[in-house]
Amino acid sequence: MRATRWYGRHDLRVEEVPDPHVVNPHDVVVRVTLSAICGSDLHLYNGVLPGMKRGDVIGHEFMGEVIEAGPEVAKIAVGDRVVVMSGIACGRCWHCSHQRFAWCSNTNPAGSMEAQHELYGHGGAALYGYSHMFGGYAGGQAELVRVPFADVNCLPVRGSMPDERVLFVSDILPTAWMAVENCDVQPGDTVAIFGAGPVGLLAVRCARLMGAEQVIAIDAVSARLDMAGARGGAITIDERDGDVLERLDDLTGGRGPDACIDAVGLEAHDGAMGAIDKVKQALKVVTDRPAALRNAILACRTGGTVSIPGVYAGMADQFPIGAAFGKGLTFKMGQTHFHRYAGYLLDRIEHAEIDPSFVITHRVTLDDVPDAYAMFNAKADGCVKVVVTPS
Amino acid sequence: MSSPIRSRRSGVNVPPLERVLTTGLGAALVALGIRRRGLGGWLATLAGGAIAARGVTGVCAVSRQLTSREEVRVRRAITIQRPRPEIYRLWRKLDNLPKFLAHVSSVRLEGATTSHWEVKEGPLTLRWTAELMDDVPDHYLRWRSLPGGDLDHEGELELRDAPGGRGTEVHVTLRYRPPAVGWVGLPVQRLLARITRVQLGSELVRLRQLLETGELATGASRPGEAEHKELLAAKQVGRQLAAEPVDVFPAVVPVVR
Repeated sequence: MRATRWYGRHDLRVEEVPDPHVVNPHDVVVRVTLSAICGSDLHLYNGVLPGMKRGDVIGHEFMGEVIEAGPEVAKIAVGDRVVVMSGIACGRCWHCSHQRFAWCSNTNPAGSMEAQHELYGHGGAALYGYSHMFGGYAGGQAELVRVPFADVNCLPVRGSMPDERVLFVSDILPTAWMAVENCDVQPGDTVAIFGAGPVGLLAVRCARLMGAEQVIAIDAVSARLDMAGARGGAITIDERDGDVLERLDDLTGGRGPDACIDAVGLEAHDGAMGAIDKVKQALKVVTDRPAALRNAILACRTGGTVSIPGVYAGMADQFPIGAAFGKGLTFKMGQTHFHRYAGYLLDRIEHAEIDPSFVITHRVTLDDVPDAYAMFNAKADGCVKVVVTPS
Repeated sequence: MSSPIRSRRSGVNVPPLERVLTTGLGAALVALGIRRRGLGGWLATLAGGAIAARGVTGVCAVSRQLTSREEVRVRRAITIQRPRPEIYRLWRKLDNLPKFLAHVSSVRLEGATTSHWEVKEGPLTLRWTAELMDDVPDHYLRWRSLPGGDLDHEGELELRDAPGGRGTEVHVTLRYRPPAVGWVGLPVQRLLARITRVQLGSELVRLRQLLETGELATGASRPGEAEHKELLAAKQVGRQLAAEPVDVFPAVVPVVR
């Protein structure tokens, strides 16, 4: 089969690799019909996420048809059309049995689990195509993918809805939903979303669905701000126009947003502090550049909530802990419990209450994936979200 | 190990007379090497220097490697979503241990309380016979090697109920002591260096995977690509152990604290 392989910073190649097959008894193999490039894949592309090996197959948002099933697979059968959750859960450990699938104890191979144990103290669930810190599983920007614990990780899609409308329940739609759920939106609340990429844009929609009075999107890319305003009904702030915190205060009567969402993560870039972070990251002094997170903390009202769906991986500098303490902020963060939300969200898509496909701006085939990464990374050509068909 | 020839000064392990002799021999080799020049001369100089240094400092790295009796003791705990008796049963049948203890090649049960252990290290196989010393069903196991084996080994398993329905806490302690004589010294040192807290942690992670899911997690895309022996071992016991998964993809998002 053909697959997108990582060879280093800004070096991706689409190559022929041996077909995957069932390895463990609960596995299936999925023939991919549609995949996507995620903002979090750019951290791999830019070489800032530790634990990648040359030749790794990447991509964690994908759907397709089951073509091979292991002997212990019970609910999923060959021929089923499925969306695959981008985090891998066993469905049986203590965390899974409490619907906390992102913290699954059993899907990282022992070596990855111990690596997380050493770095983080304790480990969580594995991911597809997201370094050997997260299991070293081959990813979905490929023609075929091996999916472990298929009964748990494959959501069957009935009916004839197009792939583009359902693909995002694999990752970015549940991510946006949980990010807003973590804000515990109350009547009259303002939610400020830092980063109007695909997750930020979907979070705008989710925040409105969950009853936010006012949703504000902050970014520095015109095409994204336009989309947040026109498609999401958000008030927009262009970072390039000047003081973001002052604008947020103006829009909230000096209170500050009740909740702030950091939908950017470890590669933020903003202002003088952002430039210093960038040098430190290049020198590997720190791994994470938390510019969006700093602003989210400083902007948030006293007693408010900061929700972090953006990915962080290692260490960050100049974290305004004094502001967080002084204002008594609540922090909610972490990888999304995709499985908890995906069924519910697919149902809402089927009932036409949400259509997340509005974020798609580019459609490419597998062979064009390396070029698409370059475009997406540069935010060129108004690129917001790229979906990939095998051919 | 205390010995009259060992100096109190830390690290000194070459006796005084040997120190004088080796210093002289080393110096002679250095002188010879300098006179001869060429590659052979260089090698003689280097070897002479090393031997002289051993004499002057009284520290011999090779001898330390061969005679170290430092005990390796590792302790680790993990919590597993399974009742105590089930974990006890898997462990009590000691020949199950190589399925998740990757550093142990085989354990063969010999009698009601004795077992034969083999650990492969490079071309060598280290062997010993262990005896079950304590056995409190569903709670506690302790075993130790009998005299005459290649390695002095002791292991302990303690099972406790975790609070609030969290399953069972599994506490494991392993102790290894190399033999007094040095003939298997180097391979034993290499083996002991591999048995660390991290290694034991990995092995308990595999135990939890096996008990909770009936299989071992792997990023491999094809059978035979990696860890194949372990996966096959897991398949043998996996079928009986695999539990039913919880309900996924609920139609209404559950409220979770």
